[in-house]
Amino acid sequence: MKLFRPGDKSRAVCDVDGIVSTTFEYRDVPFADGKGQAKDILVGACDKCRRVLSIPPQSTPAIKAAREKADISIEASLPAVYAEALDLACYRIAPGSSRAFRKPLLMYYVHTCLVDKKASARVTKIVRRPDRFFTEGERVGMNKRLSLKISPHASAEIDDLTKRTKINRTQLFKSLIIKMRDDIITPKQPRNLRVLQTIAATVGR
Amino acid sequence: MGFKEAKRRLLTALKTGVFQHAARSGRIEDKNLLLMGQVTPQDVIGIVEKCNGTHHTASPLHSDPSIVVHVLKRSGWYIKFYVLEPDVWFISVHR
Repeated sequence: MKLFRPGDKSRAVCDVDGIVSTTFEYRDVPFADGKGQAKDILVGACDKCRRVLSIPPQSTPAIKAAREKADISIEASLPAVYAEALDLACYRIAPGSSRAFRKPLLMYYVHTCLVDKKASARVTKIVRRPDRFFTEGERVGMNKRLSLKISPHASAEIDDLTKRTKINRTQLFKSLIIKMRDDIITPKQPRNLRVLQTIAATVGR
Repeated sequence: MGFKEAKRRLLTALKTGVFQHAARSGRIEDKNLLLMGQVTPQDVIGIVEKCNGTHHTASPLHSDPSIVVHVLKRSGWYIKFYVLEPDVWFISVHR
């Protein structure tokens, strides 16, 4: 790969000046659709008119991050038994983790189900066969709110999984939490413990 | 530069990571999904490798007719690029 630094020279096509030499520098660059801008990304600017002409691949992660900055709020009102099962699953993996681990754990399950068709089929199966423990828990009638701020990419993954499983978002969360109970809470040794502990240590605090 | 050479240059650029993205009108072109990080060079390689001459068209670049713009259309994907030595330049990668 080619890594550019500020001050490096290249050349590019300028709409105004034709083929020109460029100099790399940091700039704030707006998105063409008008939705925000990426700040301080490395670009190649025209040495004649100073317009931004090029963007090297090393700026892509910053552009992606800027685009995903616009977090999406998702809210679900879950029967208390589900919210508590989610918190218990978090606690079992990383007793020192805060509620911040709810989101990575849920998104881990969403992503895993999306890439593994067998897993998404199991989620659909859970919805078709109501779980007695949770069904009885729902009868208590107390609900707890699950509020998450997620990236557009994460939101798209949730939407993809709801489409694939043909269930709504709340049903999906309930099914994933039942799966967490089976994977994490009930077994003597939680499944994928090392991976989940690493995630908790990295983003769940 | 014909299809075969354009494809060879494009694949080499994607495999080595030596390319640039054109910032038309000084903006980040959100339709360039490679620039936006929504597809990876490896994803684009997979599309390009499936292309033959029937998926390729070429035309002069509007702002400098001495440069040939290549377009590959395959499986719903649209890849628009040109070569300005020493780099391959992406204008658009979208579906």
